[in-house]
Amino acid sequence: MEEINRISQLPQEVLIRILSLVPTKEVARAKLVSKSWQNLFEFLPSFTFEFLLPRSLPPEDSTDDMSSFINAIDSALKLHKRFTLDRLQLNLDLDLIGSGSRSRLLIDSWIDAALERKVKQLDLRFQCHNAGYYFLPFEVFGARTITDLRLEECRFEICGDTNIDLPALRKLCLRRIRCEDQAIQKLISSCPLIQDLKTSSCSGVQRLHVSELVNLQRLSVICCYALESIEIDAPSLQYLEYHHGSLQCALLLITPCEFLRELILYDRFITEDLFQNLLSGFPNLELLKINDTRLRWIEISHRQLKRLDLTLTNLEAEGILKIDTPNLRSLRYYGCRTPLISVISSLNTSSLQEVDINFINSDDYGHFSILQSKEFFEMMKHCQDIKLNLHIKSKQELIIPKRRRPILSPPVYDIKHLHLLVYNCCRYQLMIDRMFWMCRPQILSISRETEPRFLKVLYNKFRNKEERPKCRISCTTKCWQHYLEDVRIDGDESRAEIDRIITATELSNIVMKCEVRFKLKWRS
Amino acid sequence: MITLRSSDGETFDIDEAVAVELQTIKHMMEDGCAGSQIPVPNVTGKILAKVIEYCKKHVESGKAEEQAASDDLKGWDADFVKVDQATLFDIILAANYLDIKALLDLTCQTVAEMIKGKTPEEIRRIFCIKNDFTPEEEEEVRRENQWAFE
Repeated sequence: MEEINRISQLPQEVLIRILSLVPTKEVARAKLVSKSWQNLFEFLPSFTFEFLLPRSLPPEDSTDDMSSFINAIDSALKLHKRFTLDRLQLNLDLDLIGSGSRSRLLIDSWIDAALERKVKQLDLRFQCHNAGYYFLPFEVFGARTITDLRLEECRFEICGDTNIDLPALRKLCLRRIRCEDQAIQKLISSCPLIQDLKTSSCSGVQRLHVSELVNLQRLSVICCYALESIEIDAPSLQYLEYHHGSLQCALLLITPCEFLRELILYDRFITEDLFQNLLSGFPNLELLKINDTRLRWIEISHRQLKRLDLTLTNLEAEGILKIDTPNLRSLRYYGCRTPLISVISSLNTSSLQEVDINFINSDDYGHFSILQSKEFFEMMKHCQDIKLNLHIKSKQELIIPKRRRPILSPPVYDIKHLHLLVYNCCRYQLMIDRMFWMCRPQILSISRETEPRFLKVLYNKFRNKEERPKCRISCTTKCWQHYLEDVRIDGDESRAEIDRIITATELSNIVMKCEVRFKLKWRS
Repeated sequence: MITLRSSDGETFDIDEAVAVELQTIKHMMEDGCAGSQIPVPNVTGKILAKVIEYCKKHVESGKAEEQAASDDLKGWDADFVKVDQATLFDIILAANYLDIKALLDLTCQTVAEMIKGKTPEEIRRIFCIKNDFTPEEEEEVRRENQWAFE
């Protein structure tokens, strides 16, 4: 069959459409394919120009690369053959490009060229370690065609006189911007149609009032360290992310909003009252994620909540956690054991599909008894997926007194998939025995961060299950090896990893490279 | 029911709901130009069949909102574009002529994936493109675009 060059027969617009889906840098490389491909570059509707200093090259030798980079941007923008530009992204390291007036004028001219071509999405990211900041030309704030604006590590000045005319602006992202307190405020207030707003690490902002933005759907305020007060009144808000970040308290006021579906809160200064009011003000909340809080009493009571992600490293063993979420599908918890364990018995887990529990290393292991963890598995048996990270320190926790065995309720069989992460502790054998007293999962995954020695012990236990375990005949509940019908290693990766661990002579230097999965068949 | 006739005389009956996915046909229907049979002169029967298959599948799946159904559809799309290069380009031309945005996006993305990560020489080989640069010209283009060759 004769090989024909079909791609060059495509209409130019179609070929350009294809190339616009390829990263700009690769399209520049592809100029070498043929002369017609070389010419297509200037017809691209979007450009992303970024230049990373090659590690192998000392900075002095990079000048050729740098100048070709600068020329590429220059010619792409000034010789551009289209009337309009969809998107321009520039990642500029001012230490390399230069921060003198010549470089700044050059960058000004690029932005100018983009604005002239009615650019819709403008993404300017600067890096300046030693060089001074780039000052954004005020023309950007009069660009009527811009729908998406992203600015990173540059400066701009907005004062009372500045005329802000951005009627098409839907999405605004400001990162590491240093400006006057009111500049961002004025910018936001001048763009009533904004749907997506993100301010991250913007020093200088002391007060942020987001109101009258009836179209605002997504708001992220992250680590704006000078923030003293933040008021949010956005009736259409669906997603809110707030990372407080600083060591001084800020006033947080959020007006209730019926459309809010996702709330992410990292705020060590939030009070119990505020937290309660917050939850009651968002009746349709589906996702709640909390981190970095100092609350001692956390009560989460919500009918609609589907996903809960709690990182409560500061909630001590004596802390109170109450969860009443009948529709909860997914729970992620990172914190001390006791607060969660006390919640488990009252937790409504009928809808719970997946659970990811990480207990941090703490001194409260004395309270963690076998019965409590048994309850835990009982509650979780509807879950498709359980990820469990236990931090077991003392062997007291592991031994089940013989006299207790008969009265223990039977192990939970319905667990579909249990992920286990075991840190360095002692008595792995006892721990495995105890685990299988409590539950009999169908798939057991050993997480990558587990101690390889645990895996070795587990594997040997599985392999030796044919050997007669020494259970007394008088014992009505036999140990788990009696009930394990079959064990299979699931997948080539798992198999290879097990081989590697088993054959290793010295385990103390080894870490696991990947997760290892076993398929278990139990008889009841 | 709308009847389309391919360049080689094959006819295809499709529901109106499917026909409006082909914007070109939709406009003809709106303008009242659509007679009993709408000719599609640039597209052979083999390719028109594929195009209609795509549109039918997407019209049916359009009703499902579930994540699982959307994942299934993505899988179906991925299988749909596993064809030889000639067919792929024919589908692109057909989707372009008939103005079916989703199909054009899918097929263009497929070709883009074939280009990504390849050297110019590899691209030439995949698409049978002749290198019309002299060695000197090639060297100059490479030098001008040095920043792109790390």
